[in-house]
Amino acid sequence: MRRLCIHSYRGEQRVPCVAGTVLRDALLAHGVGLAGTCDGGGTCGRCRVTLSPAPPLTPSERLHLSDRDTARGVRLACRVTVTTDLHVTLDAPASAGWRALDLPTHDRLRPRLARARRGQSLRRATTRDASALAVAVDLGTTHVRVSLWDLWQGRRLAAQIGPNPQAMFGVDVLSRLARAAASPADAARMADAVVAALGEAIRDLCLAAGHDVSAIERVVIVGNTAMLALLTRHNTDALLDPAQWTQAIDCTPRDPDGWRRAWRLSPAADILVVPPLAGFVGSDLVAAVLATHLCASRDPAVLIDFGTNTEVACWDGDTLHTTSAAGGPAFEGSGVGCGMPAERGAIVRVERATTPPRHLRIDVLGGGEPLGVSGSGLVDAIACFIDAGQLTPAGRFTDPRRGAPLVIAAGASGRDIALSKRDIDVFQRAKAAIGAATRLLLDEAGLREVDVQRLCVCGAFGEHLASAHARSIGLLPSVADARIELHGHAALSGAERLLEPGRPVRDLGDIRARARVLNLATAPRYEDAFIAHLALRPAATEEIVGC
Amino acid sequence: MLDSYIAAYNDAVFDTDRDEALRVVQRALDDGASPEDIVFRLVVPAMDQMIKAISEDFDANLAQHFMTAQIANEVTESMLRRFTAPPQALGRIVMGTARGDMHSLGKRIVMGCLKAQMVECVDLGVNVAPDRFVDEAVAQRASVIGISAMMSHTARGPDGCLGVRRLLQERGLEHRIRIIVGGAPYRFDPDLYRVVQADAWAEDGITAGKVIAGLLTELPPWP
Repeated sequence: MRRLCIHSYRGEQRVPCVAGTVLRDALLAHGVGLAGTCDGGGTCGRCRVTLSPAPPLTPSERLHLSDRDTARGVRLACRVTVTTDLHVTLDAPASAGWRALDLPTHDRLRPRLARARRGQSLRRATTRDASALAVAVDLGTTHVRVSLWDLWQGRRLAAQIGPNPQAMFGVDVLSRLARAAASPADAARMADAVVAALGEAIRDLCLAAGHDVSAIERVVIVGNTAMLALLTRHNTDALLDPAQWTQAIDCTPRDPDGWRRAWRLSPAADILVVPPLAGFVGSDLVAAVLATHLCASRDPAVLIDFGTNTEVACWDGDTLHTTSAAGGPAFEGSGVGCGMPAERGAIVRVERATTPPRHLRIDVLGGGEPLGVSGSGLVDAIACFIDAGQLTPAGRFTDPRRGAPLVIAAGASGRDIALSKRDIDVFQRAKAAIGAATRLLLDEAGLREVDVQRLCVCGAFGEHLASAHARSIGLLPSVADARIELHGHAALSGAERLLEPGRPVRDLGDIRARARVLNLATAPRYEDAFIAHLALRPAATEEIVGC
Repeated sequence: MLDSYIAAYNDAVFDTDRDEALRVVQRALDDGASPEDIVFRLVVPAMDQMIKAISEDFDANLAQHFMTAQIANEVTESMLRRFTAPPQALGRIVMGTARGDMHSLGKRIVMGCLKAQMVECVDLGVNVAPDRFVDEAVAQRASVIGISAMMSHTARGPDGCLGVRRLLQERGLEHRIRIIVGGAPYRFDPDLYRVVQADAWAEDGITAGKVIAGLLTELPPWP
């Protein structure tokens, strides 16, 4: 038996470990999850740990880690077999827990009082002091958003955002699905982790608002299909089979009573998991479409819900064309070295000064020293480096010094906040996937950019995205500023509207009836479009012709 | 004579400047270079260099690699049409990504390289089931099946290479058809190709051309 001494932001933990165990599995067995997209295959290079004594390097580690890192003992946990006692140091996670989510205070649902007057039957209509609460959840791959509502007054009491605890099993959708398929025990742990996290959020929100959890009458959950399937433990195998990707996937909870107990809800509380459209288009997209009233007029409109799994919808006045593009977590601040969510300390905006020497000017959320860069800051920074000639549209660094990163700002800990070639690469591939998806949907709908009356930008970027920068590097299609709307938390807003019975639920049905799903994996022009969108320049406005 | 164009072509490709790359090729042709020279002495060496640069630089940019491979493909396709004699193929390969795997870009680059090295490629697309690999290989009279897998579970799973091997055994085709695999999981575990019962693996398109040429010499031609 060997011993592992795990040092992390939580402190120090000593655990036993059977010699011959792979370190990543040993850590996972003790509830220590590491980032990763390849399920321990040694291909993603994400499960970095610092070890003492450091074991010999494997070929995979030579490829993924810099000489400087390997010299100070950084290794990939999935490549290390435990043979001796080890000190294992973990990097601090980008985001450690729940935090308050600032949302517009003017959002309203129709107050129940008003409806009571219109004669609807209400159990508690006479006991005005009894509270009636509801909870909306947007379950994303990287982040979970939860809000608590007072149904009598029709207003939001509080909202929170936190990390999806499943990230320890894999940062992207596919690696989590693969993990669930390989190990039923881990599938159960992934589901339990989310149920527990939601319980924590619900309890915190109620506590802060001074209400009792038992007053919750309704919980509405939207999310991407894989997240809902992992939560409800349905069909996770099917989602690994591309033939199922355009099929409807059942995500009704198997054991809603178990959730009610875990969350301490009343046995009468209603739990609705809004069904996804298809294997890769989730109910988060449908909710975002509902919240933005995308299909409310005949005007052509495009909605892009940026996230780890980015979903795109294109409304042509009659049909809602939808698809998703697995861009990876670059926009949510966990795919790039200095990335972080748009929270306190994040650089959310970067601009070049108008007067020489045109240094970069940064906006840090909450003021103070910058700790990292958010998705919107990343877009700005890349646009600025292109503008300054330090980066070519192909993604090449013009600085002849090999490996010299592009510095955005000096960081608080004396470490520069800077972009490596790999960061740029990750970003280019993510934005190419989304650019190609948008292009193909527009073509499918027979629309040109000039026809698009509304471009709703939802999700990870929040309200900070600079549309001119985003357009200049081809992240957004060429649509005029006046037509671009930033909706930070549209999927959550859509879930909130569904807390109210009646009209929104009917609207949801209409949206579903008009939706069509395009599977990019089988779209013959997707690859050409993807490659055409890799360059960091404005997106071509004409149809991509395959060569 | 061609030497002066090699540097200019490499620069253009490195900058992923497609138009400039095509102009260099045109100037070389005007100067008397043959389409064969362009493919064998310009495109293939440039691709080789790019692959080397990527495998040596842990910080390499895959996006650039995709873009340069696209240029190389375009030049190769147009040159192949202009070959003085019909290209003499080394042999034929059917290629696809393993069942469950939708990552097609690696396969695309490798196929571009193989074409430039005179290996005929039949693209079976993505998410290819084992029986389709075998059925198509027989129908196309191909001597090699190429299976690309980018994820651990599609590389190791029963519906990938292992499934193809089982079918070749069952149908008595092992003396006629070889299996070559490629993709990230094989790169990180150089013995994985044996575990999944492939005959060979290659880490990039240029190497794949050489490995396939070797496999073909072991095989009798289709009757």
